[in-house]
Amino acid sequence: MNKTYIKNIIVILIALVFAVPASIDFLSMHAQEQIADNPHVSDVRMLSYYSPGLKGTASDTELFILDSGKPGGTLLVLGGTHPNESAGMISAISLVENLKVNQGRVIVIPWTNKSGFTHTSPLDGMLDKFDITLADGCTRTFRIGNRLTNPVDQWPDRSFYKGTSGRKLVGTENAEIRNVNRMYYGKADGVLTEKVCYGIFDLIQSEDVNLVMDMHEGSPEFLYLDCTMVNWKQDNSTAMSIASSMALSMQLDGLDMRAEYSGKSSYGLSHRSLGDNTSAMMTLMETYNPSMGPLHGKMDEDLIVNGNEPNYLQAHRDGYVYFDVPENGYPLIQRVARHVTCISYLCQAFSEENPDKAIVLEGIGTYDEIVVKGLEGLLKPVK
Amino acid sequence: MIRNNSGGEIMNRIIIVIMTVVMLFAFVACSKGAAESAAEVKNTKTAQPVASVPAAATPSTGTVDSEYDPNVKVEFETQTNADRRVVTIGTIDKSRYIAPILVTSFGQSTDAAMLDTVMKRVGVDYTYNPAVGADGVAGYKTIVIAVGASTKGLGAAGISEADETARAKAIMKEVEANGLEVICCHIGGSSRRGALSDVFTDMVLSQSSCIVLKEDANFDGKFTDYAKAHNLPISLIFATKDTVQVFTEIFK
Repeated sequence: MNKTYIKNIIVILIALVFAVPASIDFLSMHAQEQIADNPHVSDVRMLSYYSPGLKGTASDTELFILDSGKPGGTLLVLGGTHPNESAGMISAISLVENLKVNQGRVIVIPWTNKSGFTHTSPLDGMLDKFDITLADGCTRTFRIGNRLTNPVDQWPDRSFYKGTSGRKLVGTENAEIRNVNRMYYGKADGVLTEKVCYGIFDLIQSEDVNLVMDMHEGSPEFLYLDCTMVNWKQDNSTAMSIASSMALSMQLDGLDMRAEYSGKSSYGLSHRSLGDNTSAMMTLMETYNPSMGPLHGKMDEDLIVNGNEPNYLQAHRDGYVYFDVPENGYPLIQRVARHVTCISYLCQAFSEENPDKAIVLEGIGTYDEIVVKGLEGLLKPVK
Repeated sequence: MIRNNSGGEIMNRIIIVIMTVVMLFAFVACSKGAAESAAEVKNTKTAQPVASVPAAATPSTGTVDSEYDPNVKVEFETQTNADRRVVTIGTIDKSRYIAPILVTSFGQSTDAAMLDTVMKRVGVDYTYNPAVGADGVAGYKTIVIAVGASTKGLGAAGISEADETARAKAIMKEVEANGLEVICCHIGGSSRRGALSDVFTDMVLSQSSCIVLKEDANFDGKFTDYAKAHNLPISLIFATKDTVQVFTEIFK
């Protein structure tokens, strides 16, 4: 054999030595988290049930229905709208695994932007996965995706796009055409992300959803942390009443929380555009995620799970960050407990104001109980 | 030609090797730099503000971003803190605040909705109408006003600043004519300070017989100075939730 061929083959083999494991690692992002069985989950559907255009795409996602069988209201919980905001997905999964609904119905979507879970933000130095070791010693692995739909699934980002909400995506906002939380209320035959949004819009209408919680996290620079955004309705202003009641309950538990109205120009965001276009009361909650801001240090499991970020603590002490960064970090379990507690108090307040549409939950405990359990106790072993 | 090609090939290889070494150094340097940067920040200590202790209360020192100039940090002494959550200066005559009670908003912030929730928790009979008109005031004996402007709240309610200001003026006129007792509630903290918020605050303060204030909004002494000058009782609260305690004392 010619020497040049041998050399070329050697070079190709060496390249494959690096490329194959890298590809396997990259493709492993498609391996979805498993969810432990909960006998109270009455049905599992795909979002394509409501948005047929999603069928067979990377964005078709599971929704878990927990129906008490007793007439009441319906709560929809969205986790993983932004896959890099881990507390949303973990909170949703913990609800699916632990919740028992005694009245009304709860629908949970853990991976709202499923395609977004299949890629990372490499230039942000993001981690792609993290592990939680459970009480019985087994390990569960969770992905940290990107806040946008994978460009492999939706491409190109158009230089100008006007969503159904009227939001104009132009200039630096181009890529937001792949952001689920900018494309509401969606379009059945639109771009892939819009089909996801349309599925949720149609689900709310078809299932007569009364209350929606969209779970998010933000970097410490964000002004609306520990805050629940609420849509204002001309014909139904009680969403703020419910959110205020939830905020006061959380404050009385020693947890910072406030409620704010949706921004006038927050077109395309769930709390604004789904609130404007459906009868559901829309809420969106944000917790502080120390791994999300530009000041974050080494991206490792300590930062993701334990929430230790000394750079932000220092920035806060120096007066550059408004948010009161906790001295001992902001662990994932506290952020999850905050989301779950918020949902619990929202349902309580909603049920008090709408006794005929009550949503009564069991099995999730108080904030303190969840924190004491820890992620290792909250999440269940999977078969 | 052959010599030239060989020379080029050797040069290419040298360049590749150099670039690889440079990249390796870059990766190592980056990770080391990040670690050092984090360590540096962790080890840096900053001077903490020192509180001076007035005789009347256990003080703490706070810093807020003044809405008038976000770049100016205003340091001030507070009388409330996490352990001393409510400080009332003066005596609130609770017998003045009788039913029927109206709760409304001047500025359409979410603080009014919070007051609505607080009143429910305390168990008071009241009417909540954040956008009540001047013609809706008659018949009430007490009016609790959440002052603080929110552009989001005004926008959401579809009310212009001018309309809200006109509504507030008209209400205060009716309040004066009908002799209602006024409780001025500023429970949104420093974020509810600003030119428009202060317009509403001034309007309400002029007829108030009692002030409830989340103390971080008092960074310029506006509320305590007014209360002192006009001999008004003022309840300073550390956090919004402490309104429950104050209202329980007033209404129960």
